[in-house]
Amino acid sequence: MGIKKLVSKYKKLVDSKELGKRKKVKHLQHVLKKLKKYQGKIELALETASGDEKAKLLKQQTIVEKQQKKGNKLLKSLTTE
Amino acid sequence: MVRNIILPVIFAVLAYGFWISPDFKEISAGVAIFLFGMLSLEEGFKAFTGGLLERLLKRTTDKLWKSLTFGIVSTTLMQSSSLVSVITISFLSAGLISLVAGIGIIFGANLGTTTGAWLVAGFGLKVKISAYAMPMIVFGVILVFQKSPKLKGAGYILAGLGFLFLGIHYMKEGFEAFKSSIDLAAYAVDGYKGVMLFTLIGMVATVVMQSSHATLVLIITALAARQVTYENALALAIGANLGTTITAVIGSLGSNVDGRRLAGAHMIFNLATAAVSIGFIYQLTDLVDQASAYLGVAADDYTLKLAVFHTIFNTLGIVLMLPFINLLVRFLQAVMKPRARTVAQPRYLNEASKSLDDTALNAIRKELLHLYDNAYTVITRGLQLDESALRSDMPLDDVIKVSQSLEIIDIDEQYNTAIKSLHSDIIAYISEVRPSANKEVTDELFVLRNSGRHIIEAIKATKHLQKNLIRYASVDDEKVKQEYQDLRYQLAYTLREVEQIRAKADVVPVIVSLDELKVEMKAKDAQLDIELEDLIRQHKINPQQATSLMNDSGYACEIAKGLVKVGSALFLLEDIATNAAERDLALDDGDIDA
Repeated sequence: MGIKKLVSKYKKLVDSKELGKRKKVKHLQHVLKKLKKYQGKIELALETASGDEKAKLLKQQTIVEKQQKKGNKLLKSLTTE
Repeated sequence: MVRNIILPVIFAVLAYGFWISPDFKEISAGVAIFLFGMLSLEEGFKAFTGGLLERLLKRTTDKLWKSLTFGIVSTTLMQSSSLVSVITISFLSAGLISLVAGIGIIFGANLGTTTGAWLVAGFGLKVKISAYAMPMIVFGVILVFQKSPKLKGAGYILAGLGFLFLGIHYMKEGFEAFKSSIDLAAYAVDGYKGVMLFTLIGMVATVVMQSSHATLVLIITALAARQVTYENALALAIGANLGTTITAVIGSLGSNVDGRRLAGAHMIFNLATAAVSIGFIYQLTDLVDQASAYLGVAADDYTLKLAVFHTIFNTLGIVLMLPFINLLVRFLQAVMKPRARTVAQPRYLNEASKSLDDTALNAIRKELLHLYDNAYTVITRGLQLDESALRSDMPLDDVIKVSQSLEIIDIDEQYNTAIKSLHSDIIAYISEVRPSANKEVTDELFVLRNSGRHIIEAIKATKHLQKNLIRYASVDDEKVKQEYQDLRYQLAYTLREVEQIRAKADVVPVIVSLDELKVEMKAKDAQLDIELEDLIRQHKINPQQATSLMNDSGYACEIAKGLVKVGSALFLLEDIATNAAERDLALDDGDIDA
């Protein structure tokens, strides 16, 4: 690796904006993981649910999917910038 | 009066000392540099308290041995029991740890300070530490000027250590030079008279310097230069421990009941330890000799033997007090009772937390939840709803029925009694949280400040809505009456849901539940619009009634939206960064329709 490349890598490493972005990505991934886990719980509960409870779970499922979509979009924009 | 005289007297005594002895000047400069180093070290560690230290502290509350270990380890690493005490008091005041855990940490911190004596006696006096001090100060000061808070903190720590080393060096040099002109050891006093006298001197020195660590280093350097006898040095060390208690008691006078209880525990601990140590000083000296021989410390290495004594002395205190810790807590709780508080007085905001980012944010969040609880009562009562029935699992129709007999409250009066001053105190506290707070903290403070505003706006909207709720509740026009009943029912549903979201925050992710509520609210709002349009078209209500209904459904919407916003700011349970990421994923109107 050339010196120039090394220097630019170092600059990127200590740049506070980059640091902030990396931190944001990490936390976003954590929240997405949490949502995925909850989505799994909804799917499991849907197997036995019926009536009002099922309708509520389905509503929640749609919301979680939308939130995941929003999160993935945000994650993509942060990692490709 | 006395306080006004003390400072000029100290200045005069020091000035006279500097005039008659350059060596005394060197020793005093050493102490001053050492104390400055400790301040710098504390400042540096504060930069790292926003996270790791607080997370660790939260995990040390379940078992006493964990609290004790935390106290020992953190004080050993930071070499500052006062910073550990400040963090403990702020956590205790914010209701994050119990008094037993707090006492455990303070006991541990007492033992942790003994490592300082070991470091100075074993390393500081045997190595030329001034050679390390200079580069540390230079590198440290360069880092202090950096923008990054972490680098700045590292700079303060490095410079602080450098100043500590430099201070020890000057004290050592000063006592060495002092030896050639005056032999202080000639003033040694034997027997119990000497023990009492030197305990008093150690105590006064610590109260003046506000640091038992500095006193101990002074004792060790003086002992190394044979300016005090070993026996008198032991008494001085006991005095230093007692002196730090007085400092803690003075410091706790302005704090809340938890701070005072903790200072009380610290005082009882040090008094009991000192009393036993003075009573059995000769037996303890024998024990130190035996332990030193076992550890391979030479019989004439008095500085290390002093470190051994200091450790045994503090361990003895812990062994003595630990079995009585629950008794001690009960005693302190019985003796120091919290002052009676009005509903609008802050419960969690305290001076000690202001300088610690995470702790300050936690205190503000808890206080805002307190404000939210007060506001919840004002809103429910303002809408003529029975709060306890609403919080129960009673069907909402029944809640409305049982609430009919309730008296209508004056919202302005309730606002002045339970909300206004508390909100002002929170805003004042937020503005006083240290300005060096990093961007993450600043953003969170903004979110928290805004949540306070949403609470107030929800109350104001309730006040506007209340007028027509009362007015149309008694009219003969059944249609309008029913519409207002529906509006009230809808708000009762939202109020109950918001509380359930809060209660289930650890089961269902808060953003999922809040978004679910938002979706429901949006659907019901649209439905109300359609109903309203039908009523107007069919001339079932007149245009004036329709306008009132439209305005009031707007207020109802404002209350519900405000509560959801408050929930997204206050109900999230994780750290600041994760909470912020969670809020980023919350759905807005566009996302819901997509």
